Amino acid sequence: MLVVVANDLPPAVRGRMKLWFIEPRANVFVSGVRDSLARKVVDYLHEHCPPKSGLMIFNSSNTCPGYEIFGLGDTRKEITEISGLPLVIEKSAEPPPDNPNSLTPDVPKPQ
Amino acid sequence: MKSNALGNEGNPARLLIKVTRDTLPQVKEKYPFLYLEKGRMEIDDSSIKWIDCDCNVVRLPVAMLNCILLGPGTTVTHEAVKVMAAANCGICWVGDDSLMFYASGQTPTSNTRNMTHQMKLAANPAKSLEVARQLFAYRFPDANLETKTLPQMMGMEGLRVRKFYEEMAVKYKVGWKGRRFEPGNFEMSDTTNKILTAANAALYSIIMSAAHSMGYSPHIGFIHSGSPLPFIYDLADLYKQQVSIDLAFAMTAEMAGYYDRHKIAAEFRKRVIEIDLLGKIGPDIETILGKKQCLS
Repeated sequence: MLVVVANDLPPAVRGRMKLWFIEPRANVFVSGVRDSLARKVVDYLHEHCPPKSGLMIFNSSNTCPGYEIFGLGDTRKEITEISGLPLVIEKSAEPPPDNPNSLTPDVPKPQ
Repeated sequence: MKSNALGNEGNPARLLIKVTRDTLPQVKEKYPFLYLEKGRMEIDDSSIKWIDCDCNVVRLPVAMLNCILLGPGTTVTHEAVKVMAAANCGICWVGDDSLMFYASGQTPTSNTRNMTHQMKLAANPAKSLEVARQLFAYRFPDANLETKTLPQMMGMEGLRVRKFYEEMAVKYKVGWKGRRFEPGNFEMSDTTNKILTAANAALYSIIMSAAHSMGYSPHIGFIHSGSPLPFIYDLADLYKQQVSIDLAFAMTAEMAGYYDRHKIAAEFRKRVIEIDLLGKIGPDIETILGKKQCLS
């Protein structure tokens, strides 16, 4: 299964995406394509989406650990890899200069 | 796991979601290992977070991990160990010199059926020898082991391993003066021996966490004895050829005398995933120890 979450997509790409995907919510695309085809779709998206699209692509794969994550542009949270396992950096000491959203403010806990 | 929920009167209440065995993935579905160093592991709302030396916070899905190898410079809180134990994730402290110190936890709901089966086999000399024979047969499928005693089979194995080391040395064109392992003297070994020691330590950690998660005892072995983790050494011998020995000789040639542990760790991980170690280990133990008796 391939899931694409975007901040903003060019209309042409968004239209073309619907050849493979359904869009149950605005800018959320879901598809059941297989691993080999998924890779081609991911390459296509990387080629045609500008950085401001903020693409986050999740692919369920047959190889360990069972998922892959690809990010493009401002994805709000940074993806890292520890021992080959894709993980998310929730907070950094310093936000990367071109990515002001990566430092997400703490939600105050109810008293 | 816990989460915040509002009570009837609008007061925040802690909702404790218990981790039970049926909510945990099977060993074969887990990710083999994560290696972490120089940082702090603690909990936040019952999930494990890793804070590295640059203050990046990374959440770790520990229930999906077979084990975590903690390298030098790590701090871990009491509560984090508790949560990891509940999630059946093994913890292994791995030293700079590749010695390892193991800690493990088990869920209160885990049962001892597998361990009982293992004990019954180990306590009976005839059955124990039969299991040892199965372990050797896994590696020598063509040899006739019917009449062999344990020391004879161990001798055969020793010869075969030495021959395999030499074959690998010729294959990868690496000078080889024999396996040397001196505890506490890691730096003095040659590159091939260093890689072997480090890869074996990681292999033991992975197998130990897996065997432990499945409820087997690492302390009851069939070939090895007297060492701290005989069952783990018995099992590790089944996979060493593919994941450590071949790797050590291949990497020695590739690294040209410069020991790069990150490169070794990456290559080791690749091999562990390639041979699907966690997927194999469960069925392999079952083949070797025989079918489980469900009512025992």
